Amino acid sequence: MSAVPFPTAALDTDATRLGRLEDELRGLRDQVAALTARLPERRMAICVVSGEFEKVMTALMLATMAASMEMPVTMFFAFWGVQAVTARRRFRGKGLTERALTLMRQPDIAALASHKFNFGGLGPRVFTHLMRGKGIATPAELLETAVELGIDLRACTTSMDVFGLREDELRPGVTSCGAAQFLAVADRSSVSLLV
Amino acid sequence: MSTAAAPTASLDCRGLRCPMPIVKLGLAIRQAPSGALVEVRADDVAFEPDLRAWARQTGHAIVTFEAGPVARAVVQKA
Repeated sequence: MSAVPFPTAALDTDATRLGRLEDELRGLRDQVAALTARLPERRMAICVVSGEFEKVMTALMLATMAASMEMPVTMFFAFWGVQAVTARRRFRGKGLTERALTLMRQPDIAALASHKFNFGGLGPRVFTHLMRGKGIATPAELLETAVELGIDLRACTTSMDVFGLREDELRPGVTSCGAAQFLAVADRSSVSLLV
Repeated sequence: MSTAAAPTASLDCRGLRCPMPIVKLGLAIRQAPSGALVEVRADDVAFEPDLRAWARQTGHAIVTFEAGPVARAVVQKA
């Protein structure tokens, strides 16, 4: 072998450059991983704040369809929306204000008032009758289906406190949670709605 | 997939309106094993576009679709 000088300096420069590129690549990989963890999933989060017949019904139609399309669904019932997930009205053990508020809310989903043509509760009954004849699922039937599909049904704890609503007045299959818990789900959901 | 294979489940969704035909299909597909065929008959006007959107989103395949006053579809679970 002839004595060709070994290009140490050039190699050092290449090694430094390679090291820098590796560091940069590592940094980018970490960024991609962090961003991927923030991407929304195929998931639906609905906050139902209205207790009106047509709004609750629309929310339930979309929720059951999404669950059928294999999206995990969470429904958060707040304020008048809680009327959709109660099963009864209990007065015993409540103070005067709580009793009055219990009387003010509907006992269950079948008794929801409509925004238009309510006529003292007659409107929703007519709607329900007409819908049955047309093969359209009623809000009560959609709620049953929502439970069957495993939709996560949650009553807002603060709203429950406002109405003096107790856990034993909620419909079976419904649990309560706070806003942060719902938002943690909504934050990662590809579809989030307020009804 | 041959269309001659017999479906493992058959759903009669005639008279049902959106979202129920797809909801019933979704529930049947959940219970079916992978590769199973589910037949659906429906007369809802939204059935065909809904079924196609459902298949696109879920990845299950529409093996056959026969349009008509009562549409007939055979779906295969992915």
